[in-house]
Order: sequence, then structure tokens, then C-alpha cells
Amino acid sequence: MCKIKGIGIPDLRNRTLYVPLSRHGYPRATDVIEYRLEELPLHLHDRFMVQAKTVESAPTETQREELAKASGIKGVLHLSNLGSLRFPQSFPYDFMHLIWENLIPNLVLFWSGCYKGMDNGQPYVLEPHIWQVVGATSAEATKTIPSSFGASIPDPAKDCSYFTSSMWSVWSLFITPTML
Amino acid sequence: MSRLNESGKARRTFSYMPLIPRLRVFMSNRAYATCLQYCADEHAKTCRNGMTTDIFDGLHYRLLLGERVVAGDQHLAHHYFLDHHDIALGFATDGFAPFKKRKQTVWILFVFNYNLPLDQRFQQDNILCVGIIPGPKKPWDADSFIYPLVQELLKLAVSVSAYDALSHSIFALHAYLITAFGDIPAVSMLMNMKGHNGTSPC
Repeated sequence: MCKIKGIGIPDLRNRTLYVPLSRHGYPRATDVIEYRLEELPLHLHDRFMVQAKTVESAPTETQREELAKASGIKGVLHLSNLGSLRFPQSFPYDFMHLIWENLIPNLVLFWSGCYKGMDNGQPYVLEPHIWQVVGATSAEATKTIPSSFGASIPDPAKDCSYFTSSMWSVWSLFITPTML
Repeated sequence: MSRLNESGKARRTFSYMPLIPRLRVFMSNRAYATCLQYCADEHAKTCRNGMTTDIFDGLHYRLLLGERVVAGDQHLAHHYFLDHHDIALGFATDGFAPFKKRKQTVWILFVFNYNLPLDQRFQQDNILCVGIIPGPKKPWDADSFIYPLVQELLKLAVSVSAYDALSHSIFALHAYLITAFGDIPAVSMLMNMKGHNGTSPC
């Protein structure tokens, strides 16, 4: 976990925040113009604890909220009494939502050129006929994979919405290495 | 709306099921106590440098090995996981909607026992449910519900007496929580952080 700051689209009702590494050309003032992937400002245990105490001991509720908003840390927590826990190393995010339900389906949208209409002419987009063959071959391959490896999968070029996270896992672990 | 109903009783109650008595029972059962030696026996024998086959090969666990136990303000004399009885625990929570087509959620507190062999520790029978936080909304102050668990874990870090079915003797049982996990909203809740929609989303 790191201290990267989210930025919103200026003058838009939509309050979704994004975390691009580069903020070049962003119209508003930002603390950091460019984050380097190898040098993200990581959270460290001791500083995390100090920050939590600072937030906790803020003199007024408003100041506390401001500090919490700036750091993302809302205060001291009871679990921090346990010396066997490290912040944030002991708090992993689950793999299913991050990879099988987010990264892989998004990669598929990129490859098939369907990512929010932003892929026109991008070099990573597969030709439609190639992507259809990949899809059909994947669905065909599922017939000869024993069920103990996981769920059988539909054609990713046709029925992406039917994919569950366990199907994405079967597809990306056992089928794509030979296909893509 | 008041948190009490017309007859003056709380509308919802939090159920907490203590952990220590269950760990004691496991230790006093010969078959279960044998399984719990997986980490000390089987994993210790098969692990190789540079290879990660279990949480015990992870950096966090290995760094704890050389350290003295800390519980709250107390710095204790014993080291983490020095005794073969010592138990490594994991904690997870997630919101669960018990009713179809309804949005009400209850939050379930789970504890996992890493001393069990890999293929057993996540089986339903071996997952310890320690509490159910009543709905209908996500708990506003998760810490207040985790409190009884942390109190038990502090006791377990110091030591709790238990009967060992393998050596037929009373010994000092220790258990340490080494992970707390879940999806992003659950982890943010456990860490008392703003979460993925905040200005510091990570």
C-alpha cells in the first residue's frame, strides 16, 4: 500500500478519482507531477502508527477529518496492540477481486478493443478474427480439461458476462499461456 | 430510530464466540493436536530456502521468528513461534447479505488456523467463526466489535494454560495473529482507513 493521491476530472459532477502515475497536463495543482513505479511512496509500519496517533489526537473534529482525508488513515486501531501484526504487510487484499474480477477482465477488454472506446488503433488490440479464434479455441479446449482443474468456460470472445472469477482463473492459468 | 424497541430491548445484538476455549479443546484432542503440528513437523522438514510453499516461508513470519513478543504495552520475554505448540492465526471479515434481493448485510468475523495442513485449514469445519456483527448496515465502528477478539489475542500472546493430548501435560499455549485480510472495503475497515474512494485510495 502506498500514499499515492487520487485526482478527479475537473468541473465534472462525477466524483470518481483516478490514480495515474503521470499527472503531466493535469490542469490543477498537484503535489507530485510524476510517480515512479519503482519508487511509490510506500506506507511503512512506524510512520503509519505515528500518523494514526496524529489523526487521533487532533484537537477538533474538523481538523481530525482534514488529517484523515489527507492521509487516508482515520485513527488508531485496537488491532495495533498486537505486536505480531505489521501495517500494512499483515493486511493483504484478496486476490479474487484484484485479479480475477478486475485485471483479467480489463485485459480482455483491451485485447478485444472494447475498453471504454479508448482502444482505436492501439497496437495491443488483436484483430477481430484472431480474437474470435482465441475465444472459440478456448471454449473448445475446456472439453478436454478435467473438472478437477476448475469450472468449464464459455467463449470469452462471445460471453464475457457469463465468466465467474473461477472461470477467469482457469482461462488465464491453463489456456492463455499457450494461446496468447 | 432508537436502538431500543418499545419494550426497551436492543433491536440487534452482536454475537461473539470466544476463541480460547476452542483452541484449548483442539489441543486436548489427540487427532486434532497431531494435525496442528503440521507447521513444526511437515512444513519444517520439507521447506527449502528460496521456495515459498506456505505462509511460514513469507517475510513477515520469518522476521517475527527472531523477535520478542509484544502485547499492548508489555514487552514479554518469550519469542514468537519458538515453541512447537505456538499457533499462527489469520483473521478475515466480509459483508454477507443473508436475504435474497435485499441489501442488508451482516459482517462475519473469521479466524483461520495456519498450523493446520494446507488442504485442511480452509475447510468449513476448521474455520472458526468468532462473531457476527448484526446489520442492516456496515458497522460504523468496527473496532468496537473486534474488541473482544483483540482482548483474547492479547491473552494468547501472553500465554494461556492448556492440556496437550500428545504429551499428556499442561503447557503454556500461545497464539499470534499474523494476518488480517479481506476485500478492499473489508481491509480498509479493519485498518481504519478511508478506503478506495478516498483522496488517498491505496
